[in-house]
Amino acid sequence: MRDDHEIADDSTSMPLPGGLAIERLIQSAGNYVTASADLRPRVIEVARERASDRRMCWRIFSVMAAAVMCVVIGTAVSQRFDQMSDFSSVMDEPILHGPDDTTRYLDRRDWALADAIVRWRHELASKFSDPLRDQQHNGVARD
Amino acid sequence: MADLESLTGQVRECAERIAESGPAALSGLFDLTAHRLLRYSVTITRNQHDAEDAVQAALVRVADSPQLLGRADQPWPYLLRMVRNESLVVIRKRKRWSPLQSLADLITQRGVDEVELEETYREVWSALRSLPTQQSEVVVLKIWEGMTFAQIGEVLEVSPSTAASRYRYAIEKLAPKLMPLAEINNPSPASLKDVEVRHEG
Repeated sequence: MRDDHEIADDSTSMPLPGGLAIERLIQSAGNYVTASADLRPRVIEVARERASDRRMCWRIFSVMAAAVMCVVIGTAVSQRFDQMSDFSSVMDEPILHGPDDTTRYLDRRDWALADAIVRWRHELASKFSDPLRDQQHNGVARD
Repeated sequence: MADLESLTGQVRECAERIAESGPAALSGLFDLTAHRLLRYSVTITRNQHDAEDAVQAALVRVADSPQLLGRADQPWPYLLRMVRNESLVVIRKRKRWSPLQSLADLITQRGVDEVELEETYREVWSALRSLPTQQSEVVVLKIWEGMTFAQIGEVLEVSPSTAASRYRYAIEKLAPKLMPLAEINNPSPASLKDVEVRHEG
């Protein structure tokens, strides 16, 4: 039991007159202050509301994350499908008419190729003149 | 010491129940600790309403993250530190001024047989409020919570010797105000002997 005039601790010892009596007096007043009647329900209610809000936020986040994933995956799949569709339709669609008839081509690339071939043929024709054609042309002109 | 260890174990069990069952289990922790936390917080905030706000904030944080308390080495001192931090936050936010030594804010209770002691208790609380917060904290933790200076140092994040010094200075300041009351309520054998001699004389 501590000495009546000491304020002692496991690490220090401080003799102080009347210290123990003062400690006892303070100890006796420890239960004088009490919580208000609504503190308990208020604390529990706030805790429940915050837990409910957290669950709601988690649900919203999960739904949004799932929606974003669906959009990303759907977009990637859709683009891939379009690419595959274009390639297969190019391969499957035939050139239906021969060179003397109107030839159908499928896209701009084919038109550009056709235009290039026509121009090249004209250039070749202009470079290599045809005597028979020239005679026929001149005879027609004199006549 | 044993009481403190027992309380620490009970606080840990409450935290584990909250982790398992959610906020509904917070009532157990409240019933176990709210009174102690409140009287400690009142010492810091000097206002019961602010103290209740601080205690509420700390306990709600525990309900949000019970693992904070469950995984602490010393859950009860950790909870005291949480309340201390919340009390300091409340003080910083507080704009109104209140007389430090006024006890008008306190919500009190007393037994039927303690009517004559109410004035004594109010003097004690008034004397505690006259101390600087640094000293009154140590007094509360030492006397009402039964902590050692080492444990007090962990809560207040000071060295044990600093805690002991603050406690000594606090008792020295309280002595002139509380010694007369202490003598009246708990007369020492020496003073009783003096009274007997006077009666006989």
